[in-house]
Amino acid sequence: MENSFDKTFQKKVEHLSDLPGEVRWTPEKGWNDYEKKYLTRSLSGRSVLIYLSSAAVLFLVIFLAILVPQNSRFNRKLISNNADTVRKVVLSENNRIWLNKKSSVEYPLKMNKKQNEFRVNGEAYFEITDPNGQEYVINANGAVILVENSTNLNIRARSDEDNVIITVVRGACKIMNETRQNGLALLVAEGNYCSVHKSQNLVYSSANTNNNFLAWKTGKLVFDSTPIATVTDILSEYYNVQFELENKKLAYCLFSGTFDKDPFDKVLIQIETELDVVISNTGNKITISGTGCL
Amino acid sequence: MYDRLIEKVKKKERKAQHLLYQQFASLLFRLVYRYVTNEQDAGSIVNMAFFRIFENIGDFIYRDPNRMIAWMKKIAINESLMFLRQRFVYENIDSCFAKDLIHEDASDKNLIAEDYYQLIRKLPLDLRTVFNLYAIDGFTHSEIAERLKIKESSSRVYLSRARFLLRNYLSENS
Repeated sequence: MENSFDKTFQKKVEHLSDLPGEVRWTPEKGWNDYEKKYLTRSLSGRSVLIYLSSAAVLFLVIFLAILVPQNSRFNRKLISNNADTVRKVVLSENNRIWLNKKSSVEYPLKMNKKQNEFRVNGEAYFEITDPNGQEYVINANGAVILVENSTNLNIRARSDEDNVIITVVRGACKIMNETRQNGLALLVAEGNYCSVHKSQNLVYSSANTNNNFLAWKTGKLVFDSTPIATVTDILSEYYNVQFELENKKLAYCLFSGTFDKDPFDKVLIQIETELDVVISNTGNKITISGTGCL
Repeated sequence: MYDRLIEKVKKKERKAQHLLYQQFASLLFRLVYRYVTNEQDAGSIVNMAFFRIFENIGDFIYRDPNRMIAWMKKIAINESLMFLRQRFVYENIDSCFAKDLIHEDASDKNLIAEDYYQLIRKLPLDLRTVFNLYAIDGFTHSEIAERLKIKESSSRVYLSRARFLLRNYLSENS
């Protein structure tokens, strides 16, 4: 049903096409807004060029961002020792590293005058005689060792062991856990060792009582009333053999002796002679039998 | 009249789009501004409507200017309703307190078209929407109910209340 009231309004209003007086919006302003908001969706040739240029620049930035850190890796040297002997790495005339078997060290190709970062995996002996004002930061499987002065130290950072053991032979170094680098560093002086637990943020230092920590480098083995269980552990690693104690009481037998790059058989004979035990060698497994020493 | 222009717009020629925009933007603004009282919002809705127009013009078959304008208006109304629905919930109402003004004459010799336009804009949003749709833009209560997600009866109530208020506004003016 047609409503005359509505009709009046409709007739008056529907053909209005000019803008109300109070409105500041204009078709030109509207078109400018439209172009900004919607016409960027359909790209003109020029826009395509601009977008392609922008994309190229963006690509270049991303590429460089990825490449630069890789470049820094390219500027580093990685030395691995997979041989069965010790490998010596000469950094400079007075600064050297010895690498135990199954070990590696990574360091800058060109040494920085202020600070140089090293990465050790396995076991390495650092002899830093002339730091020349440089700082040596050694990352070793969770432990961070900071060397500022002349220092000799052995770092044992085997990936299959829970602790990283740093034994200071000469001088001193600062040691901290990698995850708590902002915390206090432990100053470890010569004659002491430091143990850094890889996952438990546990760092402690004590006097070094292990005479054989450097046997892998020097070839010298010193046992001074050492329990046979400890002796066999050390010999196992040094000669890469397995020991078995037939009688558990044998573990407490104390053995004294010194060896200097001696053949394995000589070591076994000396143990057999010193202690009342029988040693049988079946290839890679050495069995020690006897009644015990207590 | 506009057939050549439409063909160019269909080819997405920027100048033709600009020309069509210039030609009809004010008309569509007027329409949208009846639904949405904020000038900035109205401008945005007009632009959204033109975006839809340019996107869908390929399917539009031009016959005469009136049909073309009606088609563009419909798009602008749809965009306005979409905008309003996102910000306002049209509630169902059942009671009708207002007297229906079916046969009353709203004409007033002292008022010009702009006054009527502004009276509509004075209505509350829900009443304004229904009055615009039904009385000015020719939608049925069924169509309004569908678009505003309300019952047809509610649409009728909104319309009655809108007429009642407009009558009061007219009385105040006279």
